[in-house]
Amino acid sequence: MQQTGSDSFESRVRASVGRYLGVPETRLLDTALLGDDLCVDSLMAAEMVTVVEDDLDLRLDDSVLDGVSTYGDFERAVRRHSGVDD
Amino acid sequence: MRARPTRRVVVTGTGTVTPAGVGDDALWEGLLASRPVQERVRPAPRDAADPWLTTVEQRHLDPFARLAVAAAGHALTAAGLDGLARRDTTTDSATGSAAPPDPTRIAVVVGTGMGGAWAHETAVERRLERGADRVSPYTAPMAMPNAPAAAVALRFGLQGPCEGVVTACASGTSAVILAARLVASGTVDIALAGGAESCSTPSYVAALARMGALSPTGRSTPFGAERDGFCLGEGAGMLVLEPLTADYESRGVAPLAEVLGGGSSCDAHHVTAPRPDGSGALRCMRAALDDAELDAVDVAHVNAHGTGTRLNDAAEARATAALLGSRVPITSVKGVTGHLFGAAGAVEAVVAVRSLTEAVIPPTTVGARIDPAIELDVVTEARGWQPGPVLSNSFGFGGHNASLVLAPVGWRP
Repeated sequence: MQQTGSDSFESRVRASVGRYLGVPETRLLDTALLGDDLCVDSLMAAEMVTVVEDDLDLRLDDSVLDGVSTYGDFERAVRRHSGVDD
Repeated sequence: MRARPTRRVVVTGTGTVTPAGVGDDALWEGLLASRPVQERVRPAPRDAADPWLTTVEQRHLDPFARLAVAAAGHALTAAGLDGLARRDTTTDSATGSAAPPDPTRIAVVVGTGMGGAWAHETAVERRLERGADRVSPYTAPMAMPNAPAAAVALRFGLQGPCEGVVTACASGTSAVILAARLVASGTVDIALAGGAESCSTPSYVAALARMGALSPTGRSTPFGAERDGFCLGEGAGMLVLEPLTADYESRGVAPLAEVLGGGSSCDAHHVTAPRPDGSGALRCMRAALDDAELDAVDVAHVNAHGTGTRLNDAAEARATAALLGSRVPITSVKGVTGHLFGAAGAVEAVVAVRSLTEAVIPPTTVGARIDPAIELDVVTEARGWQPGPVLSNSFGFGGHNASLVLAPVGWRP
């Protein structure tokens, strides 16, 4: 059963990314571009993956960033690669 | 490499972060109070860069680079160039009413001994504990020895020559000498020069302890009879250098001191031990005086390397006495700052400048008594003096020696 509210998978990813980027979670819109809107360069994106892995106790491979351009893309990719739906 | 006319170089601002505190005033107060380190390892305040760097920016910088940015921020502010530190670019003036400096003609030269030790150590730990894919992609840019120079240039938008200097514990002095030459030659209009170090990682502390260099008692007593090694500090020091003829007065700034010259040499004797007769250090000091066109008799004060290890203090004392006899007051600040490695020379240059402007030589924490074998006038209580040329010495692992000569502006023999 999928969790909702503050304990949901998405909210935990969002909290982790918000802490890492030092931005309020309200800025992590589904359509927010990682580069232009959130100032996330390739190094930050790679580290962001590691931070989310650590915070949520996941294992993600580097391909998680393939095709990701918005925050929503990232959140969905993390979910897909994390195996929480398996 | 055609020779260019040489311009006189002055110091127009300084900044430090040391275990004694954030800013030059905290350092000076700690020195005058002779407040000892009293710990084998004493980090500098880790929040020193908060006024200049965001949390995210700081996360991607090793502590030694953050300390460099903080010291640079203080130095720029002191030099009336705090406009360079503003992120608000709606005003195009970096200097209030004065014409803003051309950022392409501002150099940054920052020394370090060990590089980004924390970034390196953290990466190794994570690789071993969590796997290679958990190593931060920022490890290389955080650990690289030029990271402080790059961070300072990036934060303050300085686009002239930007270089890291690595001569172990002489790095800070080497950086100031190199930067002064860039200003003297007319290569740049302003140089921001200094050193930064933060290497109190478990691995380095263990290694320094095993070398026998770290004081087992946690007491740093340079030139003292009971000295048993140094205490490891962390910090950064930066100086703003400009030609004497620059228009700093329009920024409301008066020059603090003149850089008369610098010199360097190598012992080529042993990777860590100095030549016992101090001849490498002696050649270095003579080279600095030659560069400054001074005679030994002109030297009025020595800011010693004075680590508090038995071998180094003995060799340095021999070299200093051979050059200057026992008449010149000499001090070491390392009992208060700890040994700052690549930042030491820069912080000590800042102290030397302050000694000139305050007309006071801060004391050395020698402990109960001066080693009777040290035949020098070691200053043990704050002492007033008639400011004159100061020789600021740094001698590092690898046999690297560097000496800087500072004097009151306009000093004449």
